[in-house]
This record gives sequence, structure tokens and C-alpha cells, in this order.
Amino acid sequence: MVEIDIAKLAYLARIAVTDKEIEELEREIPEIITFVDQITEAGGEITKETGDHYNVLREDEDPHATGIHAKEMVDAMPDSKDGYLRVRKIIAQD
Amino acid sequence: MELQNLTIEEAHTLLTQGSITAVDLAESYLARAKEKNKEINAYLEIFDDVLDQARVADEIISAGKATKLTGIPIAIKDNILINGRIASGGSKILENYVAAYDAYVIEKLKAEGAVCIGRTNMDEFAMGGSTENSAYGTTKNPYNLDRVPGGSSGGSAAAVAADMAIAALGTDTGGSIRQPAALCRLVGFKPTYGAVSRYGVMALGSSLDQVGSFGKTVADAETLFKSIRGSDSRDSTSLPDDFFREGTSIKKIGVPRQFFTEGVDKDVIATFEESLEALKGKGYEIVDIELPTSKYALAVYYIIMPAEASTNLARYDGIRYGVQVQGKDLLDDYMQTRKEGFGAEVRRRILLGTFVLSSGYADAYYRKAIAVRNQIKREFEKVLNDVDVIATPTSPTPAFKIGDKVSDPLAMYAQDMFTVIANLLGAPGISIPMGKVERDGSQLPIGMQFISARGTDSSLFAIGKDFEGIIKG
Repeated sequence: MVEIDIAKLAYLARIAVTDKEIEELEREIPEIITFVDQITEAGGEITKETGDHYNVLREDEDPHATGIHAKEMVDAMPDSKDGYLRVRKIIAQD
Repeated sequence: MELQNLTIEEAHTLLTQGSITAVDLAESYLARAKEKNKEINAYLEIFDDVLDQARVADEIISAGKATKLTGIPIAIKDNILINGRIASGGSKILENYVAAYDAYVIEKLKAEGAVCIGRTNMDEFAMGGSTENSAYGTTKNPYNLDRVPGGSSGGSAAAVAADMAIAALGTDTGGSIRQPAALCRLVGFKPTYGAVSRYGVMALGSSLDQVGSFGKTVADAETLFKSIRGSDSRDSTSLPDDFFREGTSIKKIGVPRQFFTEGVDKDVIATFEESLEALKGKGYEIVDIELPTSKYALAVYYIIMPAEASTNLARYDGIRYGVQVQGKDLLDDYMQTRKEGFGAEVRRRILLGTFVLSSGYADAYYRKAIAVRNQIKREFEKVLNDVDVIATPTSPTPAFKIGDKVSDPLAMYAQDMFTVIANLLGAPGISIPMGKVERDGSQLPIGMQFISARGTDSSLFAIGKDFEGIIKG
């Protein structure tokens, strides 16, 4: 069975996990990975092809009027002040 | 007047003849929805403006401008945005999130004057096959309250099955419309990928997601689909109208029997084989087909979907909208918000997706899965040169008991064994009731699934109508 560092994965995914949850996930995730591992025996060459999906870009034009959606967006914010999103300071002095 | 068990067609006729008003119809369905929701939990919210919507519909009808959906009570899955309404996606992390705009499909329904009864329960962010992963309690199967309605669109299915709406919208990433339709004795339709714009629909697996319809009959599922179908510049995968082929005739049905060797209940296979015999009697030709790589479809799906989900769900960080849980610093805000806001299955899939995309594993898992997916597509295209449609049971079992599979993720994933292939292919798929099987003295519905080539959605309705005409029960 695959060795998976659940605590590190959870950190990468930005999800806090308790020791008990780590214990459960250490059983469940490798079980699922072992199941999907069967694809190694399937055909199909790995290529650069992405299939049918590609980025569709539009011209950068016809902007909507400034501020017409601002109120709904600010109303949805967990923390805002004077029409701005308020976030925590990320640079700290040691 | 007691108005129940109506199809869209029947209700439309009553409304346009003037035998009933849209308000009469809405009152009937609203009363039943409120009453039955106590035990079924199909709706997370029954809207407070249902009668106002019905009055608008009555004005459209009086003006002689009614279309098929005008005044028709419809249930909406909770991952589809309705302006000014909460859209939680069945998750705690969005329990307070109010949509600031209408999804494309809602714009379409509103333009016709359809009446949205409420938003329906679902597995959190559409991850699951039973609604047991909802943060708001499990929906019960109207055919047996001890059992699940299927999922993830289980609330929408239960709402229509219990006559709390005439039809419903759901979303289908790996079977989330077709499987609950089968388990609740409904028709469930997943359109060709790109047929319906996903603007305003919460993303799960972006290369797989599609909005579709539930109805009591094939005609109802078709009517609702035709209403929401259309090209939209706000979804870059939206297909032009001329991509779709009308009136392709279906005569030859391919059956991939190599799939039925394990994990499928015997009476489901027996009922399926009887149904094929009945189709033969209708003049269809049944042939065996080989899709050798398709046996890996479920494994491929459970790599690609979590990979896409883990990136899509990165947006739920508690900063711009939704629930925020404060930690000791900004990083801890993210970590605590996502710990508290996401349920167990969502966390599991985010971790899986993070793993299969992580450096050192992406080639072995994610990129290999894409390669196998492309191989499956090539095999399918080849088979479709010979047959018009592929038939399988929709799900390997009837509705299972609430709680039976919650502690075994792989057993739950196996529910999707027949449905994920349509999503991997981007092909349309439909589930149609094919009778019942008995479990613990209870008669439980199961479904027949047909899958056809991309763009041939209309031919599934044609074979579906033939099929529902010959199947009793």
C-alpha cells in the first residue's frame, strides 16, 4: 500500500485535521489510491494532449459600469470596512 | 381542488385551458411540499414567494404568452444560484451565502414563468450518491423512508417522486441525476457536456459537470431540458445549437456485458435482461459490445474528479464569502474555516485530489488517468460506428439503507460504476424506470440507462419514450 503523509497533504490543501482524523484518513486515502492504482495496467499513452478542453478567451472590452456589483460583493464578505474587504495582516515582526 | 401526480404536459393543458390557475397549482404543490418535507427532507428551503411567482405566471398565461413551463412548479438543486436566495451547495461553509445573480438555467426558467418551489438537499458540493453527505441531514427515499434517495441530487429526485414538485433541476458529474432518478422511479437526464451553460452553478469536476432534468416521464425531462438548453458565452464549454443532431434513429443497442460480472445485484441484471427482451419485441436489435478500457472508468473518474474538485474548492477559504472561522493568523483562518466548513467526504476528496496532482505523483495518477480517459473515448467512438446507443442498468443496486455505506467510501463509489462513463465521454445519458426489485419486503425501483454519442440527446428521448411505453411497474 502507498505511503501517504496525510498531515502534509492536509497542510497543502489548507485543511486543519485532528489526530483522530489523521488516523482515519491514513486508512481511507491509501485504500482509495490502491483501488485507482489499477489504471497503471490500462492502455493509453501519456501525451501532451489535453483532449477536447482548451481555454476560450474573450476580447477584453465592454466593461460593465464601475461599482454596479460592489454592494452584493461587499455584503457577502465575512469582514469588510467602508466598501473594502478586510483581511489579516500577513507580514509580522519577530 | 386537489392537483397531484400531474405531468408538465397535463398541467400545461389545464393552465392554458383555464381549468386551473398557476396559483391553484402552486398552492397544491406548496401545501404538499410543506407537509411531506417534514419526513422526507427533500427541500432545504421552501421559498416564501412561490405564490408571487405563480401570479406572474398567471399574467403570462392571461396574455396568451404561455410556454410549456409557465406556471409549472419546479424544484432546484441547491448548487444552482438564484438571485437573492441562499445557495449552500449542501455545505456548512456556504450556509449564509446569498447568491448575487441568477444561474443561466434560472434565467431560462424565469423567462418562461416557471415557479421555483424551493432549493433541494444534496450531498455536499455534489460529492456522494445518497445525500448522506449533506450538512443538513439525509433526504429519505419516498418509496421507503429507511432508504436513501440516491445522490447527489437526491433532494430533487425525492421532491418529484413525492409530488412536491412536477419536475426538478439537478447536476450530474458522475451519475448524480441518473442514479437518484433510478432509485426514485423517475426519468433523469444528463445532457451532452456543453449542452447547458454552467454559469452560476457550483463547480465540482469542471470537465465532467452538467446540469440536467428530472421528470415523471421522458417527455417531462425532455421539456425541461429543451428549456434550459442553449449556447451561452459565459460558459466557455457551451456548444453551438448546430452541434446537436435531431431525429437520429436508434435501431441497434449495444450491451457491454463484461461489466456485469461482479458487484451488480442478480435481480437487477435479470430485470435488465427482461427489459432488453421487451425492446427486441419493439424491433430493436440487441448486440454485445466490447469496451475493454471502460473497466477502468470508475478508477479514472475517482482520479480526475477529486483532482478537479480539489482545485475548484480552493475558492472556499472564508475570505470573500461564506463562513469564516478565525484562527491564530491568516493561514490558520484558511485551515480552521475549511476544517469546520467542509464535511468528511469533501475533505477526503480534496486530499485525494491534492495527492494525485502532487509533484512526483501527477504522472502516475492524474496524467495517466487523462490518457486512459482518451483511450476510453476512442473505443466508445469506434463502438458507436456500429451501434446507436449503449444500454446498462443505471445503478448496480436499488436504494440502500441509510447508514449502510457511510463508513465505506469505496462501496459508495461503486454506485457510480455504470454512470461515470457518460461524464468521462461528455456524452448524454438517460435513466428510465425499468421496474422494481424486492428488498426486505419492500418493492424498490431500479433504472435502465441509455448512453449515446455527443450531440444526439434527442435520440435518447426517442428510445426513452419507446421504453417507458413497454415497461410496467
